[in-house]
Amino acid sequence: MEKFEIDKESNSVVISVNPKIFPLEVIYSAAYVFLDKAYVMMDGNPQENIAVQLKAKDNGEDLQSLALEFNNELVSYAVYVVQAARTSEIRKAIVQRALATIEEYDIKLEDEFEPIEDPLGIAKPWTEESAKGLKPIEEMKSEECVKADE
Amino acid sequence: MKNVLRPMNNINIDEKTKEVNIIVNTIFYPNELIVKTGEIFKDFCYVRLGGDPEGCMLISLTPKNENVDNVNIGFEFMNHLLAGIKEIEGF
Repeated sequence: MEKFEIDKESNSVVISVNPKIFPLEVIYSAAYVFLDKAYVMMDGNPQENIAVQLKAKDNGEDLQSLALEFNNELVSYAVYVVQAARTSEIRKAIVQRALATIEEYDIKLEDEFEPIEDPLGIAKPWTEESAKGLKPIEEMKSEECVKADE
Repeated sequence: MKNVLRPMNNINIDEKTKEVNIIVNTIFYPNELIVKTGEIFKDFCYVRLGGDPEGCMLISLTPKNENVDNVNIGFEFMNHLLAGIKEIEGF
């Protein structure tokens, strides 16, 4: 049975957790929930018994409910870990299927692509090199205006 | 059998020097994480690390100025360690 002991002097509660029921990662996750309410410390032996101390940041905090809430979080995360382990293969299959679909789509796009005709040779990307020898844009515009006037 | 339900006294404050000494069990908090967290705290504390990396590490924090709350800084260090574990493990 999980137990806890309240120490009003230090405004903290020490909770004993059985690591055979709740693995270390579950205890970390449950403790993480309390970071904004309490200072969390862990000690003990991960093979036998783990002690988690929650020192309330606020003096008016109900230490008993803090400990009981911690036990509830342990149960929630334990269930989550079990469910995650059970569904891990399904999640892997979904991701693999999604990636395979993307690959198929890319191959299809490549097959459908037809190069456009470019008889004037203007369909090339602009580079510094290709711009060499060209007149500045203002000059080109003024030349166009002169031609239009003529 | 050792009574685990007693308040932990792994954080001690030296009132004279304002130094905060923390003893951390490396089974729960990995070494690399302790060093990384120490680096975060070095902006406002003088951080000194010692002890046994395969047992208990000793972290000594000395606030750089009066504005740093040395009563709770040790507990804040422990919370940072837990947040770091969450970041590394990603659960």
